[in-house]
Amino acid sequence: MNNRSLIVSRVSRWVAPLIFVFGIYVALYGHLSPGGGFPGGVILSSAFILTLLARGRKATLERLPFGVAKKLDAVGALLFLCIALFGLVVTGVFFANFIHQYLPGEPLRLFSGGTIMPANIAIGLKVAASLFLVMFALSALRISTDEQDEPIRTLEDK
Amino acid sequence: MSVLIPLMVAVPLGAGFVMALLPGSSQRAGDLLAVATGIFVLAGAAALSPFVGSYAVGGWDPPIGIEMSRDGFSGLVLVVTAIVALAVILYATASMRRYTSRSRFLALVILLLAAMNGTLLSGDIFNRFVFVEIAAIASYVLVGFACGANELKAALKYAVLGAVASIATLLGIALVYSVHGTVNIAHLGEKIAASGPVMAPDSVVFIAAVLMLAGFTFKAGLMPLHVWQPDALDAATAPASAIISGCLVQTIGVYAMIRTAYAVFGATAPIGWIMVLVGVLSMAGGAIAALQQDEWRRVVAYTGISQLGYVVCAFGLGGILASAGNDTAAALAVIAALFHLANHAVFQSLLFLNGGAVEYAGGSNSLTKLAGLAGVLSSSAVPPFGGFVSKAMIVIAFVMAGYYGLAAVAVAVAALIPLAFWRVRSRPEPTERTPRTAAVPAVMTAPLAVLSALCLAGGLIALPALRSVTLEPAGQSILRYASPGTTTEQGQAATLIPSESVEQEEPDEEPD
Amino acid sequence: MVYVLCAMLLCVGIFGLISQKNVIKIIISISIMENAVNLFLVVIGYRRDGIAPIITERIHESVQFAEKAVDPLPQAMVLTSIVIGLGVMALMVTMALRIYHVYGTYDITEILKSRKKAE
Repeated sequence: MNNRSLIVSRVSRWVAPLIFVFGIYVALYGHLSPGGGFPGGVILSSAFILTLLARGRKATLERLPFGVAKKLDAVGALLFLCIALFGLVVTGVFFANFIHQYLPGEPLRLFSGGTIMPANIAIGLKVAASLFLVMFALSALRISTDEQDEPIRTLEDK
Repeated sequence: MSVLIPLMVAVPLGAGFVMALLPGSSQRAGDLLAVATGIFVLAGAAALSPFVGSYAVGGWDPPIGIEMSRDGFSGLVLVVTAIVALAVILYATASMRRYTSRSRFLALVILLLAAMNGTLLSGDIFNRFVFVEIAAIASYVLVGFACGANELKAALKYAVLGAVASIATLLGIALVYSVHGTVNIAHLGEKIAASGPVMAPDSVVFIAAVLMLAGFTFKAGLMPLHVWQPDALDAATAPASAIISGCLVQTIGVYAMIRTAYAVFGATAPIGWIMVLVGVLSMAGGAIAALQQDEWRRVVAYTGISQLGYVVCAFGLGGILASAGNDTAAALAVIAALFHLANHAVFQSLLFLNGGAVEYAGGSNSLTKLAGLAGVLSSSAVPPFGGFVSKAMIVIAFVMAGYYGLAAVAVAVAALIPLAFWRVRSRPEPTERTPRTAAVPAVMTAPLAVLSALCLAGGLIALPALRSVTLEPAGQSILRYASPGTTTEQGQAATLIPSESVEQEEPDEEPD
Repeated sequence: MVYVLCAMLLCVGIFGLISQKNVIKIIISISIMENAVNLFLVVIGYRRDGIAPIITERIHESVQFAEKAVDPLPQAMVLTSIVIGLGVMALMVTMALRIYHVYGTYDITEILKSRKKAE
């Protein structure tokens, strides 16, 4: 995997941040336009996956260390759960939209819809981190077979 | 009180994610958290027991919003699941010491517990599907946890077939939605009942019912679709096998199947017959296959299939009888099936945990021998044990309904199961797994002792005083839906479970 | 018409599932089947000349909106089932890779035949 194309790696340097920003936009504006936490998270993680494919694992881990991604994964999920539990604490109903009652916001603006936007952010975090982890784990498995050069083929002879 | 319903899912889910956040060094904290969660779920399940009703998530009312509901049936399974899960968690804190990442195993078990609670409590078929899938994914990982050759093979087989089964279920949900435009179980049940009393076998809804039942039959590991179960239970670690065979199979398989068949499709005769067919096939096939096995765990797995065959067969018969208007027999069949379901969870998890303890210790000692004996005797329906009482009730229900052939098969199969255990009587000994001798810690023996006691005491639930708080509300909540739907009188008659008729049968059980 | 397409896609998936021996191809077949069902779910909610079920500045009349918008519920269900499918898929691919490490082959018949014990 050392013969990476220079063009691909240079271009990915430019494109990855743009994808990242677009992911944030899609996640934030999920309550107003097509999109939301899951697509936003997928786009966010695809920025890192692009880096992973174009420039290798080392360069990716400089951007997003494995441990941080693991933490973000759990934090995103817990954040989502906390939003649901806050609804329970504030209004007495699980998953109730507790912000919207007090801060209705202006419809069709970014700050509207109450808990929907925080929930989208939490989901975006969770999805981005876990998709990145999945791809990273798969790449780790794959590269370790490459390094051995000769995969374990002893069994196939039988 | 009703606030506990979403918490039953949210708390274990949150605990699972917190455990994922814990650093690798603090295994001890993970153990404590897991045990605390198990205790919370058990306490919650017990505290919920007087509550019957639904909870609108997010404050949106049912036909539009997401509904979670608890009634007698889900409550009973909830308690049984919580007991078995707590036993498994306690056991795993000690037995999983030999693996590097014990807290991840526990996190998976807790996630599985959350998903199972969600399956039991969710009030619409799509959310149930989602929870079933979460539970299934957690169980795929649990089966392949050790990452050895056999585990991976079994887990891949399970995952691939499981994915196909869930596609069938989803297609069924999609078909139902395309016809009736709702996924809320109560709402859907009304609409389907209103659309006609008996479904034509070529209608879209019937196809959907068959697809969904096939999916749940797979998850329950019942006979035509059982291939994953013996391999998975053989390959997985003992606590994982115990929770899969004791809880998972009955919650995401049998419970989801019965709920779908009764509450959504009204358990009409064609659907009842499908269930009886599947039940008889697994009952007989499981026992016959168990006779051909030489490994302890495989015998336990196949006899488990046979036991669930009894349960599903009795449930199916209950639906047939209820739609024919024979409510007394229907009530007995359903109550017997519920009873056997509960007993099955206890003895099946006991057998797997006990086998694991024997492997752990490198040989059996007096306690594991006793616990194993309790499990085997309950499983093979020897008189004082719970398994006997519930199986006898199922046979009596068959006789009462006039299906003598079914009763004969049930009795014959009940005789085969002890034979299968007899053939491998010396086999819980380890052959190739960890042949080292170690003392079994108390954390592992305590769940065994409790589960053995439950095996022995399981029969007591049949006593009228206990039955009226456990099995009868559960039976009522199932049969509520199984009325023919043509006349309202019959529907009301089905809800009044005639307990005196069941009591008449009570003396007959003892001489059996 | 689109229903026929869904059925065809489902059949392609089933055919692949039955005929292929490579684990990866089996996983791909499963994903094709899943997408057929997802497509079916989306098509259920579709209505001719419908609009996206999103309120924008141009649509204020809620009655008219309810008349014209496509059914959003199947879309939500599809999104959920896509997520589930993704999870299962990632898991199966990981398992397949691990199996390749252990058995040295992707051929499902060989994997099932070989009675290799855990090292």
